[in-house]
Amino acid sequence: MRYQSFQDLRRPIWDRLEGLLAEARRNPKSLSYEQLEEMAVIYRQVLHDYSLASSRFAGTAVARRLRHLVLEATHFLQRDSGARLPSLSRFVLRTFPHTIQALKPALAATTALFTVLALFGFALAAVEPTMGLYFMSPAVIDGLERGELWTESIFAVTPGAVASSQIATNNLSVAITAWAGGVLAGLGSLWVICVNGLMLGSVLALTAHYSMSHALLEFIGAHGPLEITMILVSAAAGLHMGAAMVRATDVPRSVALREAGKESLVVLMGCLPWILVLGFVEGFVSPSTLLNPVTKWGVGVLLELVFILWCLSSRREEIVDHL
Amino acid sequence: MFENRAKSGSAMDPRPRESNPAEPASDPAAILGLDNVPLDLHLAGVGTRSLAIFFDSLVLVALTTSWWLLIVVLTNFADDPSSPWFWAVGLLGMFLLQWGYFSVCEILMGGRTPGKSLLSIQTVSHLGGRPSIGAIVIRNLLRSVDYLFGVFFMVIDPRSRRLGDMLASTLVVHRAEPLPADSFQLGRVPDFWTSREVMVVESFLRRAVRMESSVAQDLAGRLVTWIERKDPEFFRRAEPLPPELAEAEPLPPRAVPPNLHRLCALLAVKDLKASES
Repeated sequence: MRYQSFQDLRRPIWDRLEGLLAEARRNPKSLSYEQLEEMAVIYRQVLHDYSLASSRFAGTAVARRLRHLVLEATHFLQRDSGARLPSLSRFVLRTFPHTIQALKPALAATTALFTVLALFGFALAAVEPTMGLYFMSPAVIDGLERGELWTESIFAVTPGAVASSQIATNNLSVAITAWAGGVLAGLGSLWVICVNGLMLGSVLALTAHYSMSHALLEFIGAHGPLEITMILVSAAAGLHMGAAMVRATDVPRSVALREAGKESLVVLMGCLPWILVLGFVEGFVSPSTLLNPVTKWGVGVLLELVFILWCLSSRREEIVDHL
Repeated sequence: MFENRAKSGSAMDPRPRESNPAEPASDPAAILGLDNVPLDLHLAGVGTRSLAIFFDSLVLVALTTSWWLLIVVLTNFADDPSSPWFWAVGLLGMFLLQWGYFSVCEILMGGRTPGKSLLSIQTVSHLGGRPSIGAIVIRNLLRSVDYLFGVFFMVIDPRSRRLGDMLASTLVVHRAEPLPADSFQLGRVPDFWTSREVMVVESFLRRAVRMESSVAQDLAGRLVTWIERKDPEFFRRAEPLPPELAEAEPLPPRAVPPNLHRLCALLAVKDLKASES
């Protein structure tokens, strides 16, 4: 096709798309359904004109005009699915429970690793109490020798509101880091699990060594169970991304990564509100001297149960291949 | 002709860079749109993106400072200025700014942040469209890891993607620059011209009004003679002068030399008047 006939023949279509785009820029909602449909059809035609122009008439004014037109129209028309936020009720009732159930293997892996390392840390610190120095400062250990838990001194000087805010933001950062670390082939998430498992085990053993484990267990009763669960779930979501990066499947890696990213984000977003709630529990309920240990553990178990029930509230249907 | 075009866009070549759809599959950086048509999106490199992050960090510091100033001012108006709740809210706000600034900006500003806007770059989906909210949140929450490894991945990736971009299937590209005011098109083209001749003459016409008048007059005259010699039929069919140009008379004699007028009339150039303004 010659340059001039190409221009003469196709220019009305380009002008029409430019007009529709200009209208869309002014007010996207002003376009009728028919206009949008027309725009989509013309876009495809212009895309092919652009393809032809950039190979046959590269560098000409027509090719430049079409490039600009196509890039603008692409940005307007081509949107990823999920350009809008999902409704909250759908997220709560279906999306989150279904997604977390799909992450069962990763969740089992993080739970198993955490348990093994907590037991390992407990055994190590029980045999060699000086190992506690890796996780706790000498001042904290001095306090344990005097029969004082470090949490007492913290909450004696920091008001509950500030402490809860600090704890919540810190735990949120840990959860996001555990999740984001999964992008390094899962290694970051595994690192967070290992450190937290070892720390919990060795701190428990160390407090037991100074006969202070009852005080620690009383303190962590209200927030501990769900806080550990949150770390495990966030890390499992990260591990899910890491697995998509490493594992070879039938789908291209870029597609697998995109899907895993979406699923893991759903899980992380489901965890973040709980971590905020836990910050308040740790700031007000855990250090309270008015509540007895049974009540605190009751709160902890209740929170954990509510979360587990939420995860299992809607069963995810397995896709069965009958062929 | 294709061989020559493939080399266009180099530092020594003034011709504009264009993608060549004849070889999309072999180029790992090719961005394929609908129907696998390669889109000529100009990817933003490590330097531009780092500079954008630097500007955004300055904005973030300013916002964080303003936030704490606001908290301090609010405590002065409160009944109990020493209430710990102010500091609790302050800490939460700082956390939200730190983790949410980039995501909120990109969602509200169509893939841009103030830093990106300053450098005319934006985040797009892997198809060149608008990224989803989920994709924007993913790529920005992964910044904590990308501050450590992002530059390395951007350097080795043919599409300059960091880990967050890979997970979210997004790209950072230079915004499609608006067409220059003098991007007129030739209304008539001789049959013997290829796109190369079109490109050269368009390029000449774009520059002609800013050239030395005598040089423009000379070059335009040679072009008219060349067309007359090569395609006499085309030359005869030309209208004497398009009405738009006729209306523009009298033009300053030095602004548009007579031969340039003749060339414009011959090629039915309609927007020369606009380019002059």
